[in-house]
Amino acid sequence: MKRNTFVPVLLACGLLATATSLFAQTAPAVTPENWFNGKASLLLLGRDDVDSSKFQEYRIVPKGVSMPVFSLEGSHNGTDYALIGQNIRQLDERYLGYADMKWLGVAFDYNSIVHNMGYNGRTLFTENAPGVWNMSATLRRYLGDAVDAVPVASRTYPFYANLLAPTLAAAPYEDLTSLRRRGNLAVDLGKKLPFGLQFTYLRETKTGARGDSNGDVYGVVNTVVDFPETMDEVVQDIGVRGAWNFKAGNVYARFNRNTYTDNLNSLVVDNPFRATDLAFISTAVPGGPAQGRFGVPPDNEAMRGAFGFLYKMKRQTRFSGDFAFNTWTQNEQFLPFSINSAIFTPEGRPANALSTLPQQSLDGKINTSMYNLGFASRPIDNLAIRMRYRAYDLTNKTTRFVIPGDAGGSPDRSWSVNTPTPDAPYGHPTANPYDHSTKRFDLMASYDIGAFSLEGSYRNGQLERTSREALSGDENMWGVAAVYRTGSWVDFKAIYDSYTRTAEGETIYGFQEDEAEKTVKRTGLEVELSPMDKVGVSFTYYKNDREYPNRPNRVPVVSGVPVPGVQFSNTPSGLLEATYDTFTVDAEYVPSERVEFGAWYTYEKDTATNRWHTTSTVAGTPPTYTLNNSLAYAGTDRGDSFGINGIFTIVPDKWKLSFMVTQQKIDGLMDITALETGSFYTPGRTTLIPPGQGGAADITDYDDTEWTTANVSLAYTYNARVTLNVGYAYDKYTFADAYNASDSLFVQSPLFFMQENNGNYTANIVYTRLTVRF
Amino acid sequence: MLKEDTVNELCYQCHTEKRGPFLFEHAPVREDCLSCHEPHGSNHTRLTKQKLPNLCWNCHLTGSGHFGSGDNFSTQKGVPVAPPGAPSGFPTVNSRFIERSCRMCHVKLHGSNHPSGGYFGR
Repeated sequence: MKRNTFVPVLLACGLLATATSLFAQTAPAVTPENWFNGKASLLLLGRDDVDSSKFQEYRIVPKGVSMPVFSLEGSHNGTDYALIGQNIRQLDERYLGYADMKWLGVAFDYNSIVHNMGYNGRTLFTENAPGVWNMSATLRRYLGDAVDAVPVASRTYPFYANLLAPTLAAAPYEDLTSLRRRGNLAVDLGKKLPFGLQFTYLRETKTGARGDSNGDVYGVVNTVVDFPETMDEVVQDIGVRGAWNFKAGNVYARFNRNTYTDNLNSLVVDNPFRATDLAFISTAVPGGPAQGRFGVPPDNEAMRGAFGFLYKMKRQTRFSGDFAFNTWTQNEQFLPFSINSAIFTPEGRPANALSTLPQQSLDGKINTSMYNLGFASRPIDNLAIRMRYRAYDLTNKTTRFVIPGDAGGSPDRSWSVNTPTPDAPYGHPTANPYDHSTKRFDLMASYDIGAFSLEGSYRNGQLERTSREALSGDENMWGVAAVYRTGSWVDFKAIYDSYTRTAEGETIYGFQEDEAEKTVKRTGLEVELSPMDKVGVSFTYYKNDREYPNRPNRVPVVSGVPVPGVQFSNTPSGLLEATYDTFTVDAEYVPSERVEFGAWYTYEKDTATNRWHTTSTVAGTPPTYTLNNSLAYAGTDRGDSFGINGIFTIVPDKWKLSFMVTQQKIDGLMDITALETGSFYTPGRTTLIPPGQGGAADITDYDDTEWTTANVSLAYTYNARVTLNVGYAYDKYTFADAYNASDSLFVQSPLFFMQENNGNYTANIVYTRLTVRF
Repeated sequence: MLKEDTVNELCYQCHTEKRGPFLFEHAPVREDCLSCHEPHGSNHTRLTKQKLPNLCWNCHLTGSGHFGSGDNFSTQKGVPVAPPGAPSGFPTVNSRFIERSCRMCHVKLHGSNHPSGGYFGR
C-alpha cells in the first residue's frame, strides 16, 4: 500500500510517466511482504547505414549489442523501491526510480533526449571558441575585393557561384545535433507529518548545436549566413509543495524558483566578404563589419507561487479555488548596438561601445496573476453541472527607455536614427510595454436519460490588451453534445460547437490574425460498433471551420504612410479562412483466441487561405492609386494514413508471430491565384516570367511526405523467465518541398545555407532481442 | 486540463529561453504560443500552423515596411529556385519564399534583447 500511495505523487510530478508500462510488465501477481523482480533485455541489431538525421531525429538506433531496458523493483522490510533504465549508455538513455520508505519518499528521473536535426551540414566557418565561428581573413579579403571590383549589376548568381566555388567545395562539415539532459528529483517528507510536504529539484542542460537560427548581418554583400548555433544552456528549478488533506477536501500551496542560464552571451561569425570593418558608402560599396554578432537568449529567472483549496459536499458538490502568480525577470548586460567599429552615432559615439548604450541592461519584469473559482455538483441524480470563472492578467512592469537609434535598420553598416512617435514612444513599436488580460466564465451541464446523455456548454470571455490594435474583444462559445454509452453493440457521441470572437480597437490596416474577429464551428461524430463478439469497428469524424470576417480592404500606402480615404473594394488581406477535416475508421477482428487482426485508415485535410494585395501610384494631382496585384494563397495538406497489424499465436505460451505495417502520406499544394488582368499574369503561360514582372504559379512540391514502416517479429518463450524475439523492420521516409528543395550551400545570391541532411532515407533492420526476468 | 496555468507557461517548462522578458517583444508570441504553433503535430518544421511565409502573412500583409506602396516583390512566388550554374538572369524565386523565409532575417521572432533588434533581426 505504501508504494501505491507514493506512485501517484510521482506521476503528478511527471517522473514515472513512461515507466508505468514497464511496471505493468514486471509486477508480481501477488505482493508478499518482501519481494523482488528484475528484468533485462539485450538487443543485437543490424541495419543499413543512414545518412539522414531524420532516421534518428529523437532516438538512437544502435548497431550491434545494446541494452534497451532493465528494471529492478521490489519491497524490503517496508521499503518499496524501483530502478529502471532505458537505452543504457546511449545518448537517448533514461533512468528513473524511487524509494518509498515509511517516513521518506525519494524519486528521480534522468532523461537524455537527442535532437538530431541534420547531419553533414556545411558551413564556411570553423568554431575556434564556443560560439565564435571564423574563416580565413585572407580569403575574406579576397572575396570582398572581388565583389567590390564589379558593378552591382554584374553581381549575379553565376558571378557569386563562380567566385565562391572553391570556398564552398572546401566548406567543413558540421552536424546539427544537440542533447538535452534533464534530471528531476522529488523528496517527500510528509509521510509521518500531518500534512504533505515535498521538495523538488530539476536541472536540465542543453548542449550541441542548433540550426536554422542565424541570418541577416551584413546588408548588401551578404544578407544571410547560416552557421551552427552553439548551445550551452542550463535550467534549474527548485520547488516546495505543501498540502493539508482533511475529510471534506484539502488546501495546498507551492512555490518554485526557476532559472535559465546561457553560458554564451553572443554568437560571433566572420563576414565572408569583409576582413575589416567598413561603413556603408554606396550600393556599390556597401560596407559591412568584419564579423557579425547575434544575441542569444538572455539569462532569466521566474518565481512562481500558488495556493488553493477544494471543498467537497454531498451530491458530488465541489467548491474549488486557486490563485497563482509569476514574476519573470531578466537583467542581462546588453550587447553593444553593433560589432562594427566603423559605425558612429550622430554624436560621434562608437556604436560598438557599451558606453554608447542608453542603458546597460533591461531590468525587465513581467508579473502574471491568475485565479480560478470552480463549482461542480449533481443536484439531482440525472443532472450534473460545472461552472468556472477564470481571470488571468499579464503586466509588463519593465521601466522603458527611449532607444534613440540603432544599427538595426541598415544592418551593421550604418546608424539609423529612431524618431519616437505616439505609437512608438521608445523608438520601436516592439519596445512598447505589452499587457493583456482575460476573464472567462464557463458553464457545462449534462442530463442523463438512461444510457443517453445530453450535454451543453457555454463560455463568455473578455479580452483586453495594451499596445496592440485590438484593445478589447469578447468571445462567446456554446456547444451541445449527445452521448450514448451502453457498452453493448453501439456507442456514439456527436458534438457541435460554435465560437465567436470580436475585436474592438483602432487600426488602419486591420487587426492581426490572433486578435481579429473570428468564428469557429466544430462538428464531430464518434461511433463504436461491436456487431459480433469477434468484430469491433469505430468511426470518427471531425470538421473544424475557422473564418475571419470583416478583414479590412487594402489601403494604398506611400512611403510607409497610408493614403487617407482610399481603399480598394473586395481586397481583404491576411488569413481569411482555415478548415480541417478528418475521419478515421478503425477495425478489429479476432477470429479465434490465437489470431488477432487490426486495421485503420485516417483521412485529414487542412486548408488555409490568405490573400495579399499591392498597389501602384499613378502620378497626378492628386495622385491616384491602382490595384497592381491581388494574390490568393490556398495552402492545402491532404493526409492519408493506414495501418494493419496482426498477432498469431502459433503455439500457446511458446511461439508468437506479429506484424505491423503503416504508411502515412501527405500530399500538399500551395494553390496561388492572381489578378488575371495584372501585367504580371499571363494565363496559360508556359515559360517563366522575367524578373520585375513576376508570375504566379502553384507550388506542387509542398509538404509532400511519405513514411512507411513495417515490422515482423517472431517471439519464442523458453520459460517464464526467458523470451527471445527475432525480427525485421523496414523504415522509409521521403520528403519533397520546393521551399527547401535545393541541396546547394549557395541557393541564391547572396544566401548561404548549411543544407544539412535530414531528408529521405530507407533503412532495413534486423534484430534479436533476449529478455530475461529474474 | 493543462499542467500549467497557461499555454505559454507550459511551453516555458522546456523552452525556458523564450520566457524573457525581452527588450523587444513580439506581442502575439507573448500572448499565446498557439498563435503560430501546433504542438500536437504539424506538417511544417518547428510545428508551425502554416509554412512560412504564409504564417507571417496571416498578420503582416498590409501596412508599411516591406508591404508599402507598390512593393511587388512577391509576384515571383512559385518560380523555381535558381539551380547551381544557372544562366545569368535566371529568375530566382524571391528569397522571402525559400528556406527559412522571413526568419532568414527576422531570426529572433520570439523576442530580442539586442539593442539593435527592434525588428527581431538579431
